[in-house]
Amino acid sequence: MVKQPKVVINGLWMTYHTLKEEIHAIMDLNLIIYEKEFVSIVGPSGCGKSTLLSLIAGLLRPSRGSITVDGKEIRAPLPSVGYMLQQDYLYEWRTILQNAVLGLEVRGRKNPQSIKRVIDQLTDMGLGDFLHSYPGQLSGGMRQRAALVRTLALEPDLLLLDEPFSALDYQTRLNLEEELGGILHRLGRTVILVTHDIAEAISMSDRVVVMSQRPGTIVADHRLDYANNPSSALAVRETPEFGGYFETIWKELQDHGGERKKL
Amino acid sequence: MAESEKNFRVLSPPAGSAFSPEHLQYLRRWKRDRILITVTRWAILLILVLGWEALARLEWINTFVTSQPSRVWGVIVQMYSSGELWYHLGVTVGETIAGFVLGTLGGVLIAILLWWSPFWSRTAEPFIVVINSIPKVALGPIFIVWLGTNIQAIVAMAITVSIIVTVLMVFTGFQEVDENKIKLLRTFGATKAQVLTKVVLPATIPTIVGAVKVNVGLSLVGTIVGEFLVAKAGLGFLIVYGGQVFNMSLVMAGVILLMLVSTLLYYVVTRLEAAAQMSRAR
Ligand SMILES: Nc1ncnc2c1ncn2[C@@H]1O[C@H](COP(=O)(O)OP(=O)(O)O)[C@@H](O)[C@H]1O
Ligand SMILES: [Mg+2]
Repeated sequence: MVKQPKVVINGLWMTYHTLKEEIHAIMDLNLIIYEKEFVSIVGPSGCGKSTLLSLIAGLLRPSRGSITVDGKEIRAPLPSVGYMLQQDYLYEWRTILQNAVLGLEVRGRKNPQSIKRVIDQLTDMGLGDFLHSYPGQLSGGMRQRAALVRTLALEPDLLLLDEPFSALDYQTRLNLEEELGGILHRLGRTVILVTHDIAEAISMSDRVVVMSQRPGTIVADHRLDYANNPSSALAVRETPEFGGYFETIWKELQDHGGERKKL
Repeated sequence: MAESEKNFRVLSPPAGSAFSPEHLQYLRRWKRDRILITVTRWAILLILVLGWEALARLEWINTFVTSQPSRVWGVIVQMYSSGELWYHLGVTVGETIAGFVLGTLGGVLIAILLWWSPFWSRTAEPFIVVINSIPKVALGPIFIVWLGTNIQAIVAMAITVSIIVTVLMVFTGFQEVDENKIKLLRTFGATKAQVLTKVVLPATIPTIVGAVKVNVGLSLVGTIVGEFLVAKAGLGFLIVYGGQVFNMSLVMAGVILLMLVSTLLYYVVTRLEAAAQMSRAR
């Protein structure tokens, strides 16, 4: 089966300008992500992971190079791209349901059918009793679930997840990884997950890309293969291969974690 | 006080509740203190008024300069029966409300324009700071010359004292909105108008309500100063007129009515604030 490229990143550079300095966040980054792939990007904090996602989402313009999604250059946020930020950022003046339909509202696609779909999704996620509650009344895990529904409501076929579990406690995090892994597999979407947690990256994805310290570029790219295909994110952690992958990626992060030398 | 009273009602045990004796005792003591405080407040007020009246009757103080409660009351009753009372109250309250509604709306509108254009907000900054720093009541004579010795000049005064403060408060509120909440909306491809109406304004409602609260007081100041300068009606007019003809009972009556008006306005705004908070449900 020939895989279709979904996202093509070509010679990407990104520099931030502030009054005091220029920050080179991304330097000459090249990456192809294929249709229906689940790719994790790991790298030390501050290496440009969030910047990369914002560029793919069309929130920022590259300083140099190009990014295409489905063969088209990104110029503005696409309805077919869903972006989940590091925290839920639910609006405290809206109920959970009103928050979950926010994207539909902005895109002018809020109607009885789409609202019904969102209610069903919230209910599936165990938030059925909280549709009309305010975010302050929910736990961190529930809030992140609501944020996920808000992203999925627009039925994106490319999902960008920026450390979506980093604010949660360990137990909630494992549960959500498991849950999200299941949902995304079922939906068969292309997913790019950014994380600094190696175990999370390995357990959730088909492929792990390692970024260097800022200015970020790609230093390793692993396609994960298992003798017995694990059935879930938790099961991956039990495979014999898991330890090996973990060690390799850990080593690569160590080697590229320090300041990059001038080339 | 209102806050703790509410708590008390929540804490009040329903009949046959399982509160411990210690807790019941705590509640009883709290209630007893509350009654004591209320009684003391009224007692102080009563002593002040009665003492004033007694000193006047004993002629220990000169009622020509201090007036006395019974005469002040007499003036108020007389104004009430001639219908003047509601007229003067209405004029002052009406001018204040016009001033603060227009000042608040205008201020929010200007803040929105400044938020919309970073170029203009940076350009306008020194002008706003300078205008804000002058005592606005000093502009009174300008309004009289431009608008005439009429109600427009008074309302202009009331608007002026509140509008710049509103611009500053609300614009600062806009800038304090979490960048990431805006970023979130932009991931859905939101336009600038959508960012304004769906995040920036709703997130700033507490600040806007705070500005309203400040503005009621400021507009009343503006109105009274305006009435001092030009009016033929209103509480400010009564006070200034009473002073000119050495009718201290009229001056005192004006001041007491003004106290009632400002308390009433403050109360209404506090209720508005509570309602706004309720609708946000924290
Ligand atoms: N808006 C900005 N202005 C200036 N510098 C920025 C901005 N956003 C990010 N940076 C800098 O760019 C680098 C990469 O940031 P980021 O993409 O958030 O890293 P990561 O998500 O990998 O932690 C960091 O050094 C950060 O300080
Ligand atoms: Mg980040």
